[in-house]
Amino acid sequence: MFICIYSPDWGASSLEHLAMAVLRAAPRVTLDAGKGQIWADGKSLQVELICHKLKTELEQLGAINTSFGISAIAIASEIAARENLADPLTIVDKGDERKFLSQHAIAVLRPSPPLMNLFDGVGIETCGDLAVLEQESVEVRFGAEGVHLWRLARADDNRLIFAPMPRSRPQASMDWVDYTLRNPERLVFVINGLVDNVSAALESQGLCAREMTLVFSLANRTSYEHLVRPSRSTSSRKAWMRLIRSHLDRIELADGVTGIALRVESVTGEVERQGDIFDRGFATARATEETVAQLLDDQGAVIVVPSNNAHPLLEKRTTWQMQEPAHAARAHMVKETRVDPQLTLQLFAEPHRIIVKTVRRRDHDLPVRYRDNDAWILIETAAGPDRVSGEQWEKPFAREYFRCVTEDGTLVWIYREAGSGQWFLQGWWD
Amino acid sequence: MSASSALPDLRSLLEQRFPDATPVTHRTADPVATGIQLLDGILPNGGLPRGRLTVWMPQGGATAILRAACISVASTGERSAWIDGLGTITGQFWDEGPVLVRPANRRNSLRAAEELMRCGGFALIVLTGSEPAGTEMVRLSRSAREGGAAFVALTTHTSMASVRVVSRIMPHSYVWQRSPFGDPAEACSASVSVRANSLGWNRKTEFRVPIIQHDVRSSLEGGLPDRRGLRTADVLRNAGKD
Repeated sequence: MFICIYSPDWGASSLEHLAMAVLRAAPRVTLDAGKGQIWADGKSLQVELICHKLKTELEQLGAINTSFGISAIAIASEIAARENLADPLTIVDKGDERKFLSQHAIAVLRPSPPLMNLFDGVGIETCGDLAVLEQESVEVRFGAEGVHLWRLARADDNRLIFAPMPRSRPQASMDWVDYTLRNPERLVFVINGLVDNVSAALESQGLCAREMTLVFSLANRTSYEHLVRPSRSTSSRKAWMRLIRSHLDRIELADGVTGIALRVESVTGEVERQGDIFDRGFATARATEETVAQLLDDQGAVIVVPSNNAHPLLEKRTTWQMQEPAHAARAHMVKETRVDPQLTLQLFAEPHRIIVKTVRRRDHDLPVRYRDNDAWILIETAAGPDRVSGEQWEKPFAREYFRCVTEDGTLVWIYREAGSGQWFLQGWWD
Repeated sequence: MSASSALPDLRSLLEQRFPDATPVTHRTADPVATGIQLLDGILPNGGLPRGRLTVWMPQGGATAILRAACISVASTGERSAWIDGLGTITGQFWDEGPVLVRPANRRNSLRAAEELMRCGGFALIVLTGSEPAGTEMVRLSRSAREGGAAFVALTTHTSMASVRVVSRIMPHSYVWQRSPFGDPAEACSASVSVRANSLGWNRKTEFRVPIIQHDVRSSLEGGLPDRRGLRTADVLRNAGKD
């Protein structure tokens, strides 16, 4: 129910002061400074009781000459408050709004002077006169403003008097006072429970979280906040836990933890991303992302991308970094793609120890055959040596690398450790 | 009974009678083109069949060709995955595009292949370093059929294979850059021979493939003694004493 409060004595400056008093009795209040009235929300409340409280609050501030209009339709309650000043409380029953309005002069709807002239010209004097007309004839004769007033006269008021109530965002917290936690595994255990609650709340509301904040209450009476933001909003518990775990690896806390709170900072609707009509992998992106996430959960960081450095030894140049499911599931649409096949070096996880027969050539020994497992393999052509040395202070190495074509056509990569004189098969081109 | 209702009934009956049978996608579904014209020319229907198993018997050149195919697939907006069962892929030569999976063991490799195929989001999945055998191959073939991915396994077990491909590098086809002494210094390219077999299908092609070298770096640390040309451990021992 709408409660409209009006007094001809109020000025625009006093409305805010009065609204604070109204807010003590009603849950939601809106000011209409242009018309000098206050709206209070009486939905699902006992309106007589609310009005009594409102009247008391206003009287304490000296606002005595007030009138209250109550109706389920905003325009009816507004006119009830403004036009029945003699009666301090006017309640328009549900279903009687149109009848109530029809008795009032058309001027209560505040038509513009030109429109008022038109109404006078055709003999429309009351709201009831306007309401009985058809929409088409009103639109033709009186235009858009006429249609708007026609709707109001028919108690059809779609104005949004009160803004929608924002939903409280999901959050979860846990505190303990008898001890402090320093073990990361136990922290993860607690956070897992919190994420579970928050994800369930998100799913029940049909929302996806865009950002979440982890708040650690520390034993030194401070708190540490850490914002976590995935590449794509989601309500998936697994996705959030995976992300939070990766963030926890980088967080350093100043003291033991006595409580953890997890709150959602921003949410989005559970809507699919807008896609590109040329993106052939778009339709399966979600399924792929879920599968990749499942794979990462089951097997650890197995979906990887290389991060290369400049180490002299090729096997030490690459560190493999886990790829996020959202990135892995993205169809890449690589531009200017090179699709020509190229023979590239493949490395064994560990170099194989081999026995090599060599012949002398200038300042080095050239391999001519090697024994891997049980068989001797003939080397047709050998190129090298490429000599690499380094790491004086840790594990010094000095290697002579050879690229050799075997009798079956494979180009293999072997080296001789200058320190021990042993030969190793490290890789092949494929 | 109308023709429109008879077809699903017939399919249902066939599925009940022959549960292990696979639908004939051969020549009915667009294959996954590898992007290598000569190779596509010898493959049935011009590419790797979707929803079917292709066995690639590795004798040289398979990795180069299939990686190029994976990149080609990724460039079209579809996804491709490379399951590196033995962890032999060198990071320096890995290109963005395909999803690289490096499972810890053979069992995990096969599981990863199965899950990725079942999700239906990948057009091409290549399994290397982990050879499925027996029932594993049957299971993976079913996953490929359900997900619609072109599944290529680098293995010598050809059972369940829709297409069998053999590639090898021709031993005497290497082109070398020579050193000032006239010795081979750097391999530039080689010829790869590929043969594709299927039911009533036997084609062969051969094309040249460049060989990519990594840069050989010596030590980054300044002030190190130059050990080039060392043949014994003596100098290293001496360096340790210094």
